[in-house]
Amino acid sequence: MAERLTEETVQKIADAAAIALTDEERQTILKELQEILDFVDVLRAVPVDGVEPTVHPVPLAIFMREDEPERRHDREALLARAPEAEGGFIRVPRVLGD
Amino acid sequence: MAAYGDLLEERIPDLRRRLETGELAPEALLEAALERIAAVEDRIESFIALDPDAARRRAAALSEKRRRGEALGALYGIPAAVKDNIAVAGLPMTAGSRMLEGFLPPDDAVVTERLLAADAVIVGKANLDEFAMGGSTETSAYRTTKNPWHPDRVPGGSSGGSAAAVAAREVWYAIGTDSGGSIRQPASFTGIVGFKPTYGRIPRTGVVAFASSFDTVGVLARTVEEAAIVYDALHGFHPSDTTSLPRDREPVAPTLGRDVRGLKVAVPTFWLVGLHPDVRARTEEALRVLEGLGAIVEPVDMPHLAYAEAAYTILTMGEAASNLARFDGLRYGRRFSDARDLAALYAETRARGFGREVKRRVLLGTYFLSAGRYEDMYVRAQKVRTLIRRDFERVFADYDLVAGPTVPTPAFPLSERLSDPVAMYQSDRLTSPANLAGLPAVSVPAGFSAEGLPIGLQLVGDVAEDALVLQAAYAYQAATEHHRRRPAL
Repeated sequence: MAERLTEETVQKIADAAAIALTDEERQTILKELQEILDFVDVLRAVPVDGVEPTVHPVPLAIFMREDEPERRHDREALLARAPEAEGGFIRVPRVLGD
Repeated sequence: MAAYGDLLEERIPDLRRRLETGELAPEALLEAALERIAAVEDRIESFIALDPDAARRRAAALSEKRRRGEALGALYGIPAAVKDNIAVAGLPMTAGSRMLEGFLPPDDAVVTERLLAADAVIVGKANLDEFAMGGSTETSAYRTTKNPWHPDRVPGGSSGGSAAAVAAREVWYAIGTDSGGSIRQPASFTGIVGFKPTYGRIPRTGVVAFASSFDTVGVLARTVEEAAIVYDALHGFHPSDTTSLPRDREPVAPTLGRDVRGLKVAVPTFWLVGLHPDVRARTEEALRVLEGLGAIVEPVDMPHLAYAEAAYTILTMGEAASNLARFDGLRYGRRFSDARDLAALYAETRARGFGREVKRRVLLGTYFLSAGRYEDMYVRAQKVRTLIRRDFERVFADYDLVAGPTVPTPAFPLSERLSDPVAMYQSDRLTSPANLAGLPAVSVPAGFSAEGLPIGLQLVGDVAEDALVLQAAYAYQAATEHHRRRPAL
């Protein structure tokens, strides 16, 4: 039996994921998330002791690249893609307090 | 349509020959595609963005290239669609999300560079599920693509626009991405070929990340031969993607036609249960065709396949939660908030920028990665992924290929599964194992349901056995006629 989600847990998850939820959304999403959790609960039936986790599916040769700076983009062209930019910087709300 | 009808049914190799001799001009072939798009697009809605003028300029430049006597690329003058989570400079890239509405990528993706280096003509960006999360293309924020075989059915997803565009003869091939079946499932639903190479064969640079250890770029086309020609133009290592793999030892397309006699094909018993009866019947017929070609087909037990979909769900949601953290309303894309508080700006932007399915996955992914759940759920799913890989390793010690249906059912009705995520995820249960193990896999047309809906046969190979997968699919297609039928549009 999967863990029972509560509205409080859903709100904590939403805070961590930085997604605002309305009260109504919180309730419908709780129900949908619970159904998915019940569905994935089947994994508890699999014995996994001593099994190595897979992080990447295919063996890769890790290689080092030369550490050479390279200019790929025009600064202004990239800043033009930000919702708000000014004087060569991306403009954001105040992060630190007064 | 009459004037262009025959051209639309021609195959890439024949078109390429006629384009090379000058008997056919890139401009004329493009006009055939544009006329077809104008005739059917309002019913199919394959594309999020079309740029006929840019495509015409491109076709004219290619004509000029031929006049100068330059060498012509493998895809010279052949019109294509690119899934809208892949960057094409000069065209907007939305990934099907409001979050990226109006976003113009600063560069081509590596796969786009390679398409253009092969002299392809890109006509537009194909619709998809938002951030490639879905199996019906209905989670797109922009439009609902219809299955060309039946206006009330989904085209599959997430590469549903790419699949519909090829099946509806709007283009000759399309580029898609496949993280759990997103190329093969829509190919199966629309009666075309969908090829997901080995993880890393086609570099991912410039492709919007969904689940990075699953995301694979691949090809949709009408025949195996055409898919192989496109694959040959696109695959191989690129230094900007450290997970990309070297090229195949030799180009694959010239090797098609190799004998499949004596090939050993394993059919997991789990892949034959819980199927729509017509899917079961077509699969059994297809396996008999392979036997008729001299392959040895045997049932095998792969005990962990039953857990693939649950492991896939946990792992891809976790990876998606991490990847989508970049959408913050600050650096690029849209901002949907006037908040003067940073946390509120993030939360409001992401609440309005992401659709329902993306929110579900980011929220649950965040949960699976949280301190209390990480070991118990996320790492457990990674261990199950290892067990699924071992099931394949065991089978590939004795067999060359694993075969079965691509999807348990034919295309389902529009909106049927949109509010039932678990039912939607089930349509990936036969395709996600290849992504969990990073394996090359193809869906090839294997006939139709009683209602006339296409059904696909799936062939899966061992890591780096892309050529073998395509050779076997080619042999099957050469022995069958299913791919010759086309939707009545």
